[in-house]
Amino acid sequence: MNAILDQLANGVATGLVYALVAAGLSLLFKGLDTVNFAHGEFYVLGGVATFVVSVQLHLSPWLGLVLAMAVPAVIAIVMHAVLGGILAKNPLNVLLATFAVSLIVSNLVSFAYAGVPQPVPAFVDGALTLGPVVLTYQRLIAAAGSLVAVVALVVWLRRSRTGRSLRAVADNREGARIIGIDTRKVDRIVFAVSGVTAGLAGGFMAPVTQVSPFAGLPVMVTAFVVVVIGGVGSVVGALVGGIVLGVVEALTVALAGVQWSPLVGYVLLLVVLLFRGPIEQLLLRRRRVIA
Amino acid sequence: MGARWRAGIGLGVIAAAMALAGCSGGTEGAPTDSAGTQVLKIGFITPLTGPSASTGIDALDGAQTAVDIWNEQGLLPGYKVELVTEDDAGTPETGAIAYQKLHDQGIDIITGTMNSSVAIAVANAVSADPDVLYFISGAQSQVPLDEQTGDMIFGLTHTNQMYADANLGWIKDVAKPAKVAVLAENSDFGVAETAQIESHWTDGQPKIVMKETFDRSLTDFSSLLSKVRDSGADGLYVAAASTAIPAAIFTQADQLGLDVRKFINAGLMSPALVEAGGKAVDGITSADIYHYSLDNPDNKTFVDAFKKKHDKTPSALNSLGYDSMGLILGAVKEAGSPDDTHAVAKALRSGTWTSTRGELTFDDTGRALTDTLIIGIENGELTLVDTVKR
Amino acid sequence: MRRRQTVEGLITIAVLVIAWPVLSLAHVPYVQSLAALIAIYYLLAVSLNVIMGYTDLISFGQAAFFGVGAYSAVLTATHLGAGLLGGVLVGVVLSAVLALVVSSVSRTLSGVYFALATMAAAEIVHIVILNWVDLTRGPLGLSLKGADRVLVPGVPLSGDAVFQLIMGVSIVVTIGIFLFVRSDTGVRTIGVRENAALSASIGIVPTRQRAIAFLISGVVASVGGALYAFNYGILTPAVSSLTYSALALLMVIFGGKGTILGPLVGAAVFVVLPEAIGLQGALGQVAFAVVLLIVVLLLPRGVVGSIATHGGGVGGAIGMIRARTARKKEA
Repeated sequence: MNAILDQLANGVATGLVYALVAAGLSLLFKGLDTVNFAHGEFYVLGGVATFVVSVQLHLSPWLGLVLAMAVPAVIAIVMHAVLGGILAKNPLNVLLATFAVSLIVSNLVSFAYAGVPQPVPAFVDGALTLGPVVLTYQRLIAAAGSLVAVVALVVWLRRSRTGRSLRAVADNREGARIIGIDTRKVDRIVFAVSGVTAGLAGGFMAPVTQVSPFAGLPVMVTAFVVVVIGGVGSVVGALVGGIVLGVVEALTVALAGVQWSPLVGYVLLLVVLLFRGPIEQLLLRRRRVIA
Repeated sequence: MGARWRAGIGLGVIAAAMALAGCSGGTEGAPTDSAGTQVLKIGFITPLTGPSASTGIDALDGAQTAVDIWNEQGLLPGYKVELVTEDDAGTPETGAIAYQKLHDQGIDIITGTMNSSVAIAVANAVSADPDVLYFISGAQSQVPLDEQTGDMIFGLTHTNQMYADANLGWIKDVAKPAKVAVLAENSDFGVAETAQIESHWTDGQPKIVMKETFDRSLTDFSSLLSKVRDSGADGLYVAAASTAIPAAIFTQADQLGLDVRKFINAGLMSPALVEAGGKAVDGITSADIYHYSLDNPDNKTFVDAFKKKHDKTPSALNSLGYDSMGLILGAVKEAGSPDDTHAVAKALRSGTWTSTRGELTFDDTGRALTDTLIIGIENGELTLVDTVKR
Repeated sequence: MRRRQTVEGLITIAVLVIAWPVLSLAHVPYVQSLAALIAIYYLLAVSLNVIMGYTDLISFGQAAFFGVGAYSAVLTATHLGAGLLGGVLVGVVLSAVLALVVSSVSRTLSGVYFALATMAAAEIVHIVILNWVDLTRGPLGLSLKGADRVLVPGVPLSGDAVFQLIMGVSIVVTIGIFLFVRSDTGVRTIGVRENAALSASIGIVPTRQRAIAFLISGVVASVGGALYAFNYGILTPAVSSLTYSALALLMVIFGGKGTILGPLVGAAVFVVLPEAIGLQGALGQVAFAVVLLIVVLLLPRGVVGSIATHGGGVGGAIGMIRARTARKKEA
């Protein structure tokens, strides 16, 4: 039982970070109807930024987090500028283009560090012990930070003008344009937000997992799974989906063994995809767009 | 109508470009330079991209060090040695193509391979060319050596079996932890290691209290380490193919305050592990074939030259590259010329050689035999703890 | 469009039919090894193209069929001594079953959701292959012993013979696809892609067309996997990983989906370009990806698709630039 409690805590902590990475992707998905294969690279770059700031520049790792948000945001904006043109014409080529971008980024990072994953010191050493549950402070920081970020995102979407524009565009692109919303600008912001959130998550997790050049693709796939589970376009859904996935994975590790935990995400994905309709009707969920 | 003709021409141009690209790289046998020395080209097929890229780069650095020494000191009179490197990307198909590319250039001596699956694919391709000498530097699989019909395939590093006998035997007889938790990566290294552990530690000494296999892409080990803590193990054995994973596991274990003796599978003790793991890797012991402090003339030369060029002490992977070249060139020298590769192979197989690892001979299958070392880490330094004789 | 397809198809068949004896007689092993890989990748790309070109769905699942085909081939050859023919048969049957299951289970899905479902299904297959160690030896992989490398019991296959087989199969598959596209069934399948509602109104059932496309796709990829296994003699679970699915996707999009020549161009480029660029290591991959990006931005219909629309050569390039700038003005 103790072991299970411990795993549950782990699962929630991991799930909150998943939620942060997925939230941005969910917005992107809904707003632009596009698949960004390079989303995982934002996460990796966030980790790289933290590494550079804390290990190579010997500055505070918290400063690294700022860079972890800024760098992917800039790259996301550049991506939008370059790819925006082909977006409308051919969504399939967006897939290919973003995949090319992910290859470029992951290999540049690999080249920069000769293919060797880089360790990053924890922001705070040690772990918190609460009965049977032991969680490192770094993971606590990552989990809490992710939760705060997600909540902030939800609030921003509901309260701020830009946030509301975003939701309007996602709900009805033509309608939004008609009432004067600059859809291209909104798209750019969504891209940037996806970069910021994934980068922040990467920055938080770098001391836990080391900065690994090719971690992007697995991260992106996990994010997709969470997006589908939680519902495309819903940040709150991403939060719930992330926690669900994290907990289910952790319980699988506890009960069945860790080699089956990757399977869990995919099975969950299929179940949700195939039974989404009936489940939705069952729960009478409103089909709102975001948050 | 016009569009289709243009389509045809356009495609023709593309096809021609492909053909040109494919036919590139056809150099002749052994050109002679102005001083009358011949160029001896040795093929080096190794992973320069992909997940095992760091092992390939390390081996290449070691090999180049050896080649530079042999050339600078004119150790092979009448010849200048040149390494022709091809990336196998860690996949069998790329390795097979790389081999054909080298062989078509007239290169008959191939070395470098670090992955078992690539080694098997290249060995299969080599089997159609009986005059090719294939010296497998870092791949552990015994399959290419056992399956060969000639005597032209060699393996330099210890096999998984040889490592396991030394490492697991030492842990059982000397280190003696009571209960061990085993975390193995889901790769050929990890799975093979788990099988070895099960066959070596059969009588409950030590007792295997936990055995888990995790996916290679896993980076967050919290759940697993919780399980380790709950199992009551006093020893943690990590089996992986790269230094990054043990470094991550032990770092996270330390953060969680897990108090266990640390063991890893053979072949990972290197400065890279120390750099990646920091304080967390102090106290690890494992087996390896090489340590930079080994006191023999070959190693002294190697360490000096490597330090001068790369500003760091060499690891076992570097030594594999270095010894691959040293042994091949030594055999060429012994045979008199590189042209009869069968004579070179014979010289290799029958000789008693010096290497950075000490005295080295080959067994009937072409596998190199040297002592095994037990290495530990103390205060960020790799130390020589014990030796297991061959 | 029919005529364009006919010309394209004939060009593809012609290229393969000419290349086969030329490569065999020239006997340059390096070029031959490149050609063998191109052909295997071509089969993988063709298998995806059947789905993408003719039903407008994206599938990430090709690697699952490829892996099933490869592992079936080696396992039957090793344990039953049935050789390549037996192995291909078993692989084809298993892949056909898998294809039918996937297409029927996913019949309510489309677009991105369908793509994700295929990704999930393929990864599940991959994880099973990776972890069912008793059958597949997991990550240790399977190697094909020399003695088992036969066509049927008693007919050994040399490396060269396998090459001949690969070329032969590629031609047969191409002809098969060519005929399928022009057949009634093929027209119906494409009809569904072009306009589902209209097709339904004249009695064509999308689900059935989807199943047919998947079936063909699974079979072709499975054969490709078997040939891969026999060509390299070694197999690891990596062959069923997303890497190969992604590769298929890239080849098809680059070459132009729905075209017959497209997959061949895509396969050729993906094998030869890294060699031609010559840059090794991570920088080589970067260069490759940059080239890819440039192509995607400038040739949205894929190489073959763009040539077919605008024509090749300088005239075509000018025509294309004109068209793109015109579209930009509209937007």
